[in-house]
Amino acid sequence: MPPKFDPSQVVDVFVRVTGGEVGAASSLAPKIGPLGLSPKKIGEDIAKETAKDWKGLRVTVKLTVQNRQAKVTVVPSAAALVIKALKEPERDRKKTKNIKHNGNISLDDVIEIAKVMRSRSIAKELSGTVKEILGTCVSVGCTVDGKDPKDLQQEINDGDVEIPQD
Amino acid sequence: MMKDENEESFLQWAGAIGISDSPISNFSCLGHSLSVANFPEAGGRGLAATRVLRKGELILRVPKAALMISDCLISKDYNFSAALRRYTFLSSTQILSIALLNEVNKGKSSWWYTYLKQLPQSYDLLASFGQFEIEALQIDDAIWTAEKAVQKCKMEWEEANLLMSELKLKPQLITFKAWLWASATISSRTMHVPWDTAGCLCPVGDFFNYAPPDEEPYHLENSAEELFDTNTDRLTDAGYDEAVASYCFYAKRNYRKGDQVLLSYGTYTNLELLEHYGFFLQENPNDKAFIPLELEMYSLCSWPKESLYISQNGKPSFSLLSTLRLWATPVSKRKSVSHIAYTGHQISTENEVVVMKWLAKKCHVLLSNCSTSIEEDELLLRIIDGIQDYDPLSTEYGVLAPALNVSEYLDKKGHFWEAIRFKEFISRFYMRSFYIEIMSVMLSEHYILHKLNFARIEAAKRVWPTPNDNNQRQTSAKLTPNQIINRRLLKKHGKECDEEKDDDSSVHHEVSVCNLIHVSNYKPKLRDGQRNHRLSPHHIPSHVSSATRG
Repeated sequence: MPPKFDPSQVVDVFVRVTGGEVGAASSLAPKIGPLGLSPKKIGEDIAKETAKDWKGLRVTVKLTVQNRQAKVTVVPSAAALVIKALKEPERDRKKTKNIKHNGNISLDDVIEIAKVMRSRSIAKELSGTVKEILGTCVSVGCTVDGKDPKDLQQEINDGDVEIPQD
Repeated sequence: MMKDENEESFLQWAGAIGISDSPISNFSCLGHSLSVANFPEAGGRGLAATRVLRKGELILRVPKAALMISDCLISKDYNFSAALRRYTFLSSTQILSIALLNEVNKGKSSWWYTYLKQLPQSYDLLASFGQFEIEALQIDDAIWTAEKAVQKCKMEWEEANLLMSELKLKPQLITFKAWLWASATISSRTMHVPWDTAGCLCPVGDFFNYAPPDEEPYHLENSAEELFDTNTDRLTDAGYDEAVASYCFYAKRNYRKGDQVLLSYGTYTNLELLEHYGFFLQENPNDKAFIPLELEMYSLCSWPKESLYISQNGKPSFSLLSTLRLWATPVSKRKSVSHIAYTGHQISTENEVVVMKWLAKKCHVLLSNCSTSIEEDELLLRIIDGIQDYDPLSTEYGVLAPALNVSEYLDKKGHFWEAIRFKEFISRFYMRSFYIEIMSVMLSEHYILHKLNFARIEAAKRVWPTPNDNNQRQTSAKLTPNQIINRRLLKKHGKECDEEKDDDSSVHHEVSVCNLIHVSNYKPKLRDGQRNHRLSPHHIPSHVSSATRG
């Protein structure tokens, strides 16, 4: 006997999309179809939600589905945040291939990202999360403050660079 | 008249304890944005908008003190809390039901007296259905659900009985009937609160009638405001807000002045609505029809059984369609096409035809197994409506026509004696005398009713005008909703499947499906209208057209 307005009738779905683009309905259908939602509409909702901040970036999107409505929230990965911080010009995914992210971001950017990721990181202190983000920078291929992120990690370990506690 | 007074004093009481529909407290409960109104077409008593309401606007706030929570009731009643300690096996719903009955028992001395007084006297939940009414549902899973609901209610009552007699409730409050009322009140009126699974009773807030949640229609041009609205944090229309310690209700959409404000309690099928809330909708976009599947199919799919259904528009659900497509492919090929099936794509034209034919056949069998057809149910509905609207003072013969139809129908069906008896009944009816005698005749007719599932004729019996009632026909009870619901639910279920049903020979069906696939393959962008124009829609089960659209 469910009381009215039960908020536990919720289903969470995670999908990975390219921000600001309405993906093919077929890519969403296997996940959204069984929930009885229209992939086309959800696709448009996602595109609308991601258009502003995540245009052209691959991001994970969380769909909270209840009462046949879906709430869209972006759950950005560290890499997505780093690439966003690079402030690269918008590119057409279909025309430019094999994009290299050889830009530069500041350590402050990294700390900012680390703060966003803090809740999802299992590092004990913020410095640990910062080092994780620096590792992501390595993977993305960018430099931090003009330096190789690996060197920066070493400097944090040695205590040459101070990371605030929170 | 009595009712209005009840309502008025209730609203005054509600205003005094802080229930308000306006942001500023002014000791009046309703009036700023809502008012109680009667909507005979849609749920009876409900709340109407007294001004233009915007989507997402806070329309009603009920403070925590005004919520009927079992903890609260228990802590205020020493006897009750002491007795309750020995009954730890009772569920929270049972406890709330007992607490409710306990409050009723106190009569005027109860703090909740004004609230309790305006609660409905009876409900039409599945649990209150009689054996006869349950049988009239005809569809197996509906019957099963109803029987389970009745059993569960009985069991809970038996469990609670000891405690209730210990509380020294009045004898009439210990009866099963009283328990039915209490549990139905709990089931149909409680609202979710995070700390109690039974929920709480919310005065005034429970006036809101139900609107089914549906996918929002497309807005081609969203204004900036609407864009903001579409992604609010709210997925339910109401909820307990810890920050302001009250239950808050928000407008589901924009309302004009005078519109009934409807809220969505959650996503339910018609059967679930009937089971929990005692009503159902003629048009419920979330309604589902389940058809029995082969055992092999269940093992083929990874989705839960509940997701294999046919939805209200006649379209098989995503999971059902995928499963059927996979099932229809030969075993050896299944592995290679499973990825196509699981993404919801059509495997091949032949496969699709097999799937649709199987579905149509299944639905047809299911429907033909019902003891009455939809046409017969509709006829019955009309007859009952006719009898209900019958004015004993008019001498028109016309109103009796439907009743004659019944006798013809009985005749045709081979129930010769019943037909004769029915004719006899009609002739007496026509003479407009011996009302009471007719009633007794009708009662003796009971076995026919049983035999033919004439639930609604039985209902008609109840509303039969007695001679001294002639002038007060307006006030005489309407047909109990139970019976109407009964039939209508049945009709609804039947109808749904009927959309799937293929009346014509299978050859014809195959041709039309092939045709359709042919058309949709070559002209995938044909509009619905155009397509209907090309093909006679009568031979195409609607799910076929929707399934091949993609």
